[in-house]
Amino acid sequence: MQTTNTEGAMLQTATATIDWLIIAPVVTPLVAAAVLIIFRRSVSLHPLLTLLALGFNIFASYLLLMRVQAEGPLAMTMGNWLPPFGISFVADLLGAILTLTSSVAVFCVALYGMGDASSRERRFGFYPLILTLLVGVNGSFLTGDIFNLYVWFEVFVISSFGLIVLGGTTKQLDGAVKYCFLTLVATTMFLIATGYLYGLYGTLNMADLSKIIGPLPFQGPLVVVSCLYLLAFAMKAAAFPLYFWLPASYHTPKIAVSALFAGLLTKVGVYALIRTFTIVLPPAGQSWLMEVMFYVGVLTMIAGALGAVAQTELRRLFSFLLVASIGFLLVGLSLGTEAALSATIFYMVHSILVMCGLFLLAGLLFSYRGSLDLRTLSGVNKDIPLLSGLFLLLVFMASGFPPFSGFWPKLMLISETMQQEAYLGTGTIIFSSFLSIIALGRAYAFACWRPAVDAAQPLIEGQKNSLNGFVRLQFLPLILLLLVATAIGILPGILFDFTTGGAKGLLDSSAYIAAVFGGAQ
Amino acid sequence: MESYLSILVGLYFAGSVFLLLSQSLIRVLIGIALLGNAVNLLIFTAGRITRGVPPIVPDGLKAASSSIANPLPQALILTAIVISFALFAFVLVLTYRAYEATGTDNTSKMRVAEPTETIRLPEGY
Repeated sequence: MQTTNTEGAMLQTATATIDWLIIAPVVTPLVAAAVLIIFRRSVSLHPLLTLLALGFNIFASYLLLMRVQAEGPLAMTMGNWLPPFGISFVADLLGAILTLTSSVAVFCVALYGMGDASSRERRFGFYPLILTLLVGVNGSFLTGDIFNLYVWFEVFVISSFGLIVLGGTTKQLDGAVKYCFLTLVATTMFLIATGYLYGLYGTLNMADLSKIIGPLPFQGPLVVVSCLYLLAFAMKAAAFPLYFWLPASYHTPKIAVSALFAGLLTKVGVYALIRTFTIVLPPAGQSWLMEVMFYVGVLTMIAGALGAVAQTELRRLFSFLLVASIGFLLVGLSLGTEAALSATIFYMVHSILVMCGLFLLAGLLFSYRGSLDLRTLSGVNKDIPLLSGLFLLLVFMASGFPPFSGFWPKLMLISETMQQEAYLGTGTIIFSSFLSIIALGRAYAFACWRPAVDAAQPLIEGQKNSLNGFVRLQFLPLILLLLVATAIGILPGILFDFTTGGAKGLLDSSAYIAAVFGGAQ
Repeated sequence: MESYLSILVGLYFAGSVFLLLSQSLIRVLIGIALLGNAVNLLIFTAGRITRGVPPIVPDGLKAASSSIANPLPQALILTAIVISFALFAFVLVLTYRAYEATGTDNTSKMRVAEPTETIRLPEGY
């Protein structure tokens, strides 16, 4: 986009107005969060302002996606310093799709939060924090500089720290300790790897790194850096054997917060893996590391699915399913072909929506039944048929039944593993889906079909009163998410075009590099 | 100079990993603080060390006339220091609150979120 005369290392003209679209998904929630903090005390304003900002954000992300689809990757240079000196923002198809999806997910969570977050929690910053979390997540998806990616990681990490302790119960603090320490170690690993990368190649711009590293053999310090990135991002993404922090903490915070974390945070870890191992460190010659990632993915799928079968608490069960879905994504990335990457991106979109949906569903079940323990949770089908129906729909989606959104990427990846003769992957995907069906099916049967058991906790009087006004409204975000996921399932071709384009862009980084360096070369 | 610093970085990492593996949260905290400093020193060393040549471009020139110290690692470290300071402050308060709430700073005794007893689901209904 920078077709201006350049003098030295600086861009001399202002950025074209339309190019500001690239940073709109980051700037909008950031400004909104700042405004909310200014009006910290008028908590009744918060939901409305947040929803307005997020609505605008979805619109901007959609426009960005359309523009990227039409014109290829777009780049913007910060502070008019030309790359590789200045920090670049690059929107390619992968980043744009994920930006749009995460904006939709956060919109639904904010809508759910209208009934879920008390005015005390709003005063402590529920809405500003979910907005800054989105800032960090979208920033990660759109940045073209690896140190900047670290900074965006920290932005959403500190927001998530604030969100996970919101409410301050003992259980939360216990979960938060594990979450915070592990996350800190993971991001520090990321920083170490980035420090090495700078020491080795003298640049941190992803496109520049791609140009430099592309022709190099995979040996020496490059191996160390790659392994460190794999370790750091796998830790953030909750891959085997570094996933134990996730089921230890994700069931403790407020339900809206759990839904947000489940939908977005681990996916950013996977996104960083995809970006690092395709654009920054081109996969040529690092086949043994990809093999390691393949086995890590396989083990993650099995461990997650087995863990899910063993759980009696609904949110912990969903946490383990989340771990299993990360394994699927890792297997897709490790195969590294166009079809496999396309399936990975497709599944990421599906997983953001459905995981968010599962946790919101847990929230609705909790507000009606006061418990998420499968020993007592029962009788939903008779009392609240709508909720039971939504649960069944989510069971179908999460286990990948046709015609829902989980089916297509699984089909694509299964056929791709067979073509690549990675039969272990084929078997594991099927086995892990089968275990997920057992875990979810059993949870559904216990919670919905089983007649109400005596031990079922009656609702506390106060809870009942606070329910009536908001509970109907709280169905809305879940239904919205399910509508999007069902639409993707029935018309997979639309998303498939984007994911194939995204996968192509990852395998051939020339368009990405050209967009960053633009007229500068 | 770089080789001495590399050895120092190694020692820092060894110390912090030792502390991170402890069960006592206070030691883990100190380990985190040490780890942050180790990384900063690592980035500083990886950016090559030049003595006494500040990265200032003289008036009227577009680039420095002689070789200068690399300002980028310093900018990276400054960012990393600010971030790790903020996170450390948060974790410090969190640890104190967790200690107050659970009555222990031993990680293997903090089992509120993950109870240890085995719960069996009914086999049917």
